[in-house]
Amino acid sequence: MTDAGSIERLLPGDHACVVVGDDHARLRSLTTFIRAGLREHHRILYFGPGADAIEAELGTAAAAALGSGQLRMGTPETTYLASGAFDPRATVEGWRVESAIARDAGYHGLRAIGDMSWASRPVPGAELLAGYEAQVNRVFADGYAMAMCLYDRRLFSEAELQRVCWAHPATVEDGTDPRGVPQLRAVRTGDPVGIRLEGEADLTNRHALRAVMENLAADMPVTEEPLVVDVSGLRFIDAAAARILTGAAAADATRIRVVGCTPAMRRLLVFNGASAITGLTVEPAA
Amino acid sequence: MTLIAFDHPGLLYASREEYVDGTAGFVRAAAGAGDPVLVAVPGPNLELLRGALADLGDAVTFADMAVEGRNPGRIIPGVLLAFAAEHSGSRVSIVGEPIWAGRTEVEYPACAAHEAMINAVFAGRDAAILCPYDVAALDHDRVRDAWHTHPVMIVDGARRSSPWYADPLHTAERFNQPLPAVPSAAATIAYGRPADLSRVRRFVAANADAAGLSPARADDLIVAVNELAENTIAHTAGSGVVSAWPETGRLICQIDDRGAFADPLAGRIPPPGHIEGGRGLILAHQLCDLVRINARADGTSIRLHMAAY
Repeated sequence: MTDAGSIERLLPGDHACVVVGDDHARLRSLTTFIRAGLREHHRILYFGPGADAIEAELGTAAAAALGSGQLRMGTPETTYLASGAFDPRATVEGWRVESAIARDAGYHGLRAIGDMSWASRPVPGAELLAGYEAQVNRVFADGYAMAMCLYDRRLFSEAELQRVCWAHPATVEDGTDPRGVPQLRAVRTGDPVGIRLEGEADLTNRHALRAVMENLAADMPVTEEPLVVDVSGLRFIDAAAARILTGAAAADATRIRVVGCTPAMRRLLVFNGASAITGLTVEPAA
Repeated sequence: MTLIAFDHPGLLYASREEYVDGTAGFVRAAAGAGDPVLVAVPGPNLELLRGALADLGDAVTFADMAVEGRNPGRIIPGVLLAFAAEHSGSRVSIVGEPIWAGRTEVEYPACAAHEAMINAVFAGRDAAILCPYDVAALDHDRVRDAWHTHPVMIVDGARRSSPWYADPLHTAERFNQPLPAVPSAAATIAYGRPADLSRVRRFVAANADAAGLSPARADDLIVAVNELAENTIAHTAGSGVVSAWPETGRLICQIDDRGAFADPLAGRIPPPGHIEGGRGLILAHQLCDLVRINARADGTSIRLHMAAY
């Protein structure tokens, strides 16, 4: 059974892949996430089936939130799949727009909830889902919006689940230790301009980290200063993640300062060619 | 006309005089021809050659093989290919002494396999690597193996083709030997899914702490084990087991999975810079004091040694 404590640990900036095995766990994950959003004064958008059951479970709180527009529920088929096909770019853009609207309306954050069961059906574009799940991290990395993607274990193969999980910084499933949630948090910062990484970067979230880091310069305001990648909150980084960091600095003219490195991280970055990259400086933890 | 050929002679020596004559002559000839030269030999011999070659100044680079080549598995990527890459475009000449009397029984098969693999890795490269062997101190079987891993041997100052030299990968396979049994008291953890990796890392951290590893050594061991466990998950259909147990002054971790180790040179040749993966085993070689590999048709065992300091 998925631990509700895991869901409650999610914050703006997070993008969690929640894998459920039965209807009860699904409903509990959904209502836990929504209730937290109601408490935090977040705009909450749910796209999936069974809105009535969710509303009934939430009780009076739901009615008020639905009335005020804080909570909106719809199905993928009537929203981002209305054309009959899945368009990853348009969907990512849609989240950016919803994020801006919620901000303008004064909400403290945006909670996006997607029940991804539709992807088990032969929808054109469904094969682009894992790539979409990686790219959409760029929206959440601004630290305002957050998302929970529900995957029903009964509808997807283990290999399919693995592919989409790797595109999420965090995965929550049966047996996940709540203390380890989210496994990785990547939130861009304005002062200094850059990004702060926390948690553990490994195979489980490699595609998410890559999408955010590869596009870091494009997703930041133009600056004369080097982008600061603060890794002081990273407990672990594997060789491929180190390669993603050095690769971000080696690509185009982006200058990057990696700050807060442990000695082991520093060795790993050097092993991955950090010394040879002119735009990259690596600084130890203070 | 420039002759591009790889030369890998073994030098048999029985005294300091023979050692200095054989190696210094090689170094002086190479430096005289303008080749970049690396002398990578263990501690006492390094001091001997530093003295004998002092007049050559910066023309020769020195490295302590007992440190840089403590793990024989990192000599090819970390010492030999690294030096060749620093001087790409030039013929490089290297004195490399990876085998000395202090090499233990558990280290030795990895050392001999390394000597055999040099031939395969450097085939067609413009380089010379001279490997001294101390016949006065080494067991006879280790000297005999040198005749199998070097196409040419230098005996009493004369070059002789080795009649025992054969296909280097076939020779290396002779040293692909079963590892000593994992002690029954070893701690173990099974893994099979990406989500298991953080548990594997905590397992290694706890065992490293209990064995008294310094934080830096523990962190490096965690990185190495994680890379090998990721290889199991990414490249094999099944699961694996990590075992850990302390030996005097060090922690041993062994990774067992059911994957077939397809490329005998895996972990020896760094992939091109733009390739993201393929560095796990090279990294393990770089970080650990010894990496012993036993590759079988039905599985692979990789044992990592990590001293406490």
